[in-house]
Amino acid sequence: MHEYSIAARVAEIVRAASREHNRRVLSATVAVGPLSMVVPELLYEAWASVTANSELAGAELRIEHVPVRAVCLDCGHETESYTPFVECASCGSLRLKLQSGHELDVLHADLEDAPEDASGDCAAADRHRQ
Amino acid sequence: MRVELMQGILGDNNAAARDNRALFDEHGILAVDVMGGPGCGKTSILEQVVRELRRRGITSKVIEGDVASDNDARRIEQAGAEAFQINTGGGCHLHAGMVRRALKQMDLQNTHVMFIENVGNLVCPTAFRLGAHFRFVVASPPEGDDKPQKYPVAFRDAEGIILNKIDLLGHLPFDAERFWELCTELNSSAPQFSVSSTTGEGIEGLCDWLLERRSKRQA
Repeated sequence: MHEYSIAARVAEIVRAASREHNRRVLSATVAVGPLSMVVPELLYEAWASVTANSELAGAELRIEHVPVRAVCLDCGHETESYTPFVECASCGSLRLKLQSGHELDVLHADLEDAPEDASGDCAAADRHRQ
Repeated sequence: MRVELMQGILGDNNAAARDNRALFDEHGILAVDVMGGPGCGKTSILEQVVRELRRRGITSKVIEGDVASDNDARRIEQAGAEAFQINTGGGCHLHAGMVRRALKQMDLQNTHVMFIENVGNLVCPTAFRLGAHFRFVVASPPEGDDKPQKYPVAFRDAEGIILNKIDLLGHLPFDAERFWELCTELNSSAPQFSVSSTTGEGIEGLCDWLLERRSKRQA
């Protein structure tokens, strides 16, 4: 259950981007490798929870799954796996050289097109009310 | 509008881990992170190790990570080493920032070895490096000899593997040979230690190895 600390860190990173551009966050996209031991369902839940009742409320979390790529040290076969339990797909060996799979990165954030102009919005809302 | 970020989520943790490593190196401290499931005997091993090191004139200290209570810190103090208890309050792992805060409150002068005992867990701590020079993973016969297969990331990423409670071998259906074969397959470079935190068997060898590493780092 380290997903909460990870979701909180993703929120911090995209919140900074949102403030810099003064636009609301629509979605955040993260790359997750299976060796990070992150459970996607738990990360989605954690994200919903850490963003609720904040300026990020409603922003979507998107996960890009990065596979483990491993070269077998016994037979040389290259195996790709989307789970952390990786063995050589050809000979079954666990003696592997791992080339990817530990990824845990925020790739990008999609922000609202129109900048949040507080004074403009209030004026528009005021006109509506009248 | 898309903003490219390309930021490591663990970037802050890794930066704090680098700070911790620098602090250890500055003080000539060998730092060892100990990871294992609840009940595998992490604290019991450390009690034996700090006693043995003390016999050899080596001062070790321990940062204890637990969800709650300071039971483990008190056990370590009973064994004769300074201990600092971190309570994660529900968190399932230590992160490097917690260790950094602990180090700031500890006296690092005249310290030769620092152990960091992680929260009992073989999953979450793997993602968070703490700045230690070595990470040890501990397992024991009651947990089953297929533990490395079930938690491959923990065993693959470790820099040392300890099988504890070897005094129970023969009393449980645990095949030590199979356990070590799986460890070797997953991680042939990690040294392997068989110890008993009850009888003290293997503790001297573990301490020999630690001190050898320490003198190599200082050479």
